Amino acid sequence: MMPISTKGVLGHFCEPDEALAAAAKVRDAGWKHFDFLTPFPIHGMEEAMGQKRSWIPWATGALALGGILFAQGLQNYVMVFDWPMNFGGKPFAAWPSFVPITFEAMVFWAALGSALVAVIAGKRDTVPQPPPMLVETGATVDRFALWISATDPKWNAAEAEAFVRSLGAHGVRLVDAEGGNDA
Amino acid sequence: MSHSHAQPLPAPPGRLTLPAPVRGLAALLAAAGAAALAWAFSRGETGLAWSAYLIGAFFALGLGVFGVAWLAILSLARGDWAVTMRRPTEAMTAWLLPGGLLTLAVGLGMHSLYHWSHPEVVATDALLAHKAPFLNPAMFWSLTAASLALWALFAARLVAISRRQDREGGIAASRATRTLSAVFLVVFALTFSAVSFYLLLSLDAHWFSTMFAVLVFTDVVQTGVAFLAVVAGLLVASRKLEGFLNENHLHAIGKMVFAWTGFWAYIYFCQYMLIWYANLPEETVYFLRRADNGWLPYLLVLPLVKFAIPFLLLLPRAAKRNPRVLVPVSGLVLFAQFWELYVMVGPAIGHGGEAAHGHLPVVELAVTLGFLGLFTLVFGWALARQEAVPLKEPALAACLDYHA
Repeated sequence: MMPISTKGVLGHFCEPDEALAAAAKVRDAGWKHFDFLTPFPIHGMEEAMGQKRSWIPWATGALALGGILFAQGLQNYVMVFDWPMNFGGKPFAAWPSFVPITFEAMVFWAALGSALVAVIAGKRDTVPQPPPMLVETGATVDRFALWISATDPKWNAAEAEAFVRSLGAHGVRLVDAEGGNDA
Repeated sequence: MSHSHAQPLPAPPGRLTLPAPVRGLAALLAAAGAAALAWAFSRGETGLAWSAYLIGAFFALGLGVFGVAWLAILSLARGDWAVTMRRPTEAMTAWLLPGGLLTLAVGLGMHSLYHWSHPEVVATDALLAHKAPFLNPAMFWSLTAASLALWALFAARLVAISRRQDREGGIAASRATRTLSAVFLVVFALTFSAVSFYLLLSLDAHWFSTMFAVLVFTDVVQTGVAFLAVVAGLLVASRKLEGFLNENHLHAIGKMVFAWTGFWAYIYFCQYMLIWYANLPEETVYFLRRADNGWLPYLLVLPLVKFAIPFLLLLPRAAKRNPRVLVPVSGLVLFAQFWELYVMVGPAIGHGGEAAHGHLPVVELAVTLGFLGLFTLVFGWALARQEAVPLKEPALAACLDYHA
């Protein structure tokens, strides 16, 4: 029996390719609560991990529409109702002159809003139990760490450890709440 | 990404040939275009005939010159993702020699197209007299011919370096391509502006627009990437380049079609808004002429087919990765280029005499499809002359590993 405080199993790879190949194997073996800690984003990792497409583009689209409505509403209110002014004999609601502001507001809302949504979603959407901080400092430099959380439905500490080792990972170990070794 | 573990290359795909039905259709279109042109001339409608010829010739010339410009841009920007699309891009440049000569023939119809070419008109027109040092037949012939010749020469040289790399491999050819590309882009910026001024801007010789050359450049790149997207989409769908070209590469070229569609709207609207805001008679005449005499519906269709519809259809990620969406939408972009050329050229014909009226562009479309047919035949001929993939290009591995 492993101690109750076990949070998960950790191992690392030295090449992004190996991490990518391992991710597909972890996914195919049916693990759900796992994550990779890598120094840089690896192309194709979402797919290899079996993650669904992000819903953030929908937020971007909604924010873009919001920016358009905001800019159109503001310009039409100010330029037509609140303080109409004559510019070069153009109509008050001169739509071509509203286009640049509408475009800029759309980009501004969509870009800043998406960044904000991504930060909030990134905090929420990780594995139910991420590894303790600083458990694998190499993951910020040159290592590609695999983490399988003990919350996984098919969790069994001995099996999980053996599985990660079978992937060819280095430094495989069970980790407790303080980030120390269990074994 | 995975530089450390070299994957074995997929089996070389050999050479690509156009399927016989495509060749047959292209030849049929070319014949129908020639027939439509002959019909218009035989009816004595020289204005219609020459405007149709100019639209078709410039449509195809744009695809040809896009080929060289795209090779140069990708070389300088290290566009590794496009290595397996290089052969089709090179094949597009093969049009520059026959297409350049056909485009030069527009000069034979200059009296039907360009009112600055009539000395008796220039004599009584202060603005045209002022522009006469640039806008005169001798300058038209020499600058246009020199520009087209330079494009063909640079294209031949770039393709020759690529062939040398096919035989010898190594990085020297990539370096030589980069140097030549940098020189070409400077030459291209100047000569392309001149050609777009002579062939298209000078149709409205009183009018001027500082955005015109960049607008036509945008047209040419948007149309060129759309043509490449059609080719790449058909290659992926038919699995002709299995292992060398996949949906990631489609995604990349689809993003290009999408981006240049957005950029076109940006440039075209900028030109319109500046003219609308300043409200100067010598500038507004351009859009007034295109809003009058039955041209307004044709002008209003333009932003729909060239921007709104392709933009919305290509917005989802899946659309850019699926040839069944990407190919028809890119086809629409090609049609929209014809439409824009029609709205540029058509209303400008018949100065001095009776202004042309807006009409369904049947002859114009037939002639343009004829040019597209001819272009496709030359493209197919050039494509089949060597291996479909540059197997000795050092960046090939990075291209095969590309993730959009």
